[in-house]
Amino acid sequence: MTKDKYLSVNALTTYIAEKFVKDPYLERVFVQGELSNAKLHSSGHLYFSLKDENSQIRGIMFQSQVNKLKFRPKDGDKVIVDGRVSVYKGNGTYSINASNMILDGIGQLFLQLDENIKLLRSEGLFDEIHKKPIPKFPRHIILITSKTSAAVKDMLTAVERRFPLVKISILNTLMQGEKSKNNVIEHLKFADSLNADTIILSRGGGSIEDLWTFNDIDVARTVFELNTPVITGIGHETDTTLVDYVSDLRATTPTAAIEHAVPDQISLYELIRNYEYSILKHMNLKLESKLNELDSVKNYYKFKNPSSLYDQQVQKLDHYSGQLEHKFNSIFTDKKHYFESRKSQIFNIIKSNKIESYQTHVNRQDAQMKQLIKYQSDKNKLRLKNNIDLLDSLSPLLILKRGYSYSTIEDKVITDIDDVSVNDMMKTQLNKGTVWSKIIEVEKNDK
Amino acid sequence: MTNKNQSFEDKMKRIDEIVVKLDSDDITLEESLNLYKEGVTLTKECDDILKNAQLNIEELTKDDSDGE
Repeated sequence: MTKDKYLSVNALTTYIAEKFVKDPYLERVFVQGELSNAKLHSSGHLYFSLKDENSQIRGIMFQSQVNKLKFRPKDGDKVIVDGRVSVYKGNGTYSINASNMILDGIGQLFLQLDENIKLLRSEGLFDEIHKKPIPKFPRHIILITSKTSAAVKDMLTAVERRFPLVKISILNTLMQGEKSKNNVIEHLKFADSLNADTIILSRGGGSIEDLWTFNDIDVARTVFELNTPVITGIGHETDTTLVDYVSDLRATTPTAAIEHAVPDQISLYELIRNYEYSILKHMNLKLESKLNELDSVKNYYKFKNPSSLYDQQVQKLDHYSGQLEHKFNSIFTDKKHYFESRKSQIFNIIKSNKIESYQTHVNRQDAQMKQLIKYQSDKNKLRLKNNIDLLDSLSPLLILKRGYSYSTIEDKVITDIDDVSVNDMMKTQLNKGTVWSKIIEVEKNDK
Repeated sequence: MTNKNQSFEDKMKRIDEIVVKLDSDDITLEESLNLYKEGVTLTKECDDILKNAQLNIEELTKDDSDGE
């Protein structure tokens, strides 16, 4: 054996590489398989393995192609890869150099779904503003489901447990298969015409293909257009279908759909108890606050000290009456002063004039009068003396002394014989006494 | 006051209104007493409705209904 039998590693690898390059079958291959070890390098190139049950092959996709992909490749994706097979001499491996990669089968469906989601979202069909509120206490709920499904049993059990007050109508519907789409659309529209409170569109879990009706864009648009609030409960928690995006409420399962559609009677009883409690509490608070109000009114200082109601007025009154008195006094004083001054003026005037002159006049008159009276009195005294003297000279007593007398009958002086009658008692005045005589006889002188 | 024909929902709504009104300051004592009475009656009625409820299930077919 000579040494030149041996090839260098590079020579062999180059030879093998040449074989790959020159092979027309390897120039362009279409391979289907499942992605594994998919890894996007920081350079932007995608490294992956493509495998099936028995084999696997490495693959690479350069950045420029990666950027054109409509999906983000991940492990487990079933894909169809379009590329050529080449050898990488650096580590002696061969790999598929992918120029394109698309999702295979269901994967393609998902791709379509993604596009539908984007479309409907861009049209605004997912917007919150379109979500109708789900009635809290529905009277009538329509279930669009298969009447033989486990889902329907779950839902009825849930309704019975939670809120048996509601009427449930079941619209038996094909939930999978080719005819399912039209049947679902038809039943949705029919249910919408019945004026129910809520429509529940629901089916249990199944394969992705089984649920595909609910990723249909026409079904989704129909759900969106209904006037009745729609709750969707499709498949399992992990399944989100297109109708879930447009429905008014997405429940993860059929049972969850019922839980969203009806209240729970246990919590309703609780709510009613709470209401009862609140009503009682508020009523008591109200009563208490009214009582407090009443108390505070009763304790209002003006009620407690009614005098405070008029204290001020009394003070005012005192103040005013003091003022009044003061005013009155000052007016009175003023007037008094004025009066006094006038009075003294008047007195002065009187004093200075009339009174003095009257006084003098009176005094003069008085003196005159006194003089006159004295004069008259003197004069009369003199006359009286003269008269007395005269009288003395004429006094009957003197005549009586000379022996004369005068007689009276009944105090009447007798001057004529006719004054005397027989039996008259005659009184005769003598010088030193009186003689009583009884007339015995009367003799008249003859003529 | 309470109306036997009111739905459960209406009654619950009314009770809620009553609670809110009772909580507000601008009602008279008389009004609150009336609301209190109404509220207590309504809660009893709601209790009864729930206790006596029986699930009513029917199966619709579109063809039947079309014929109506």
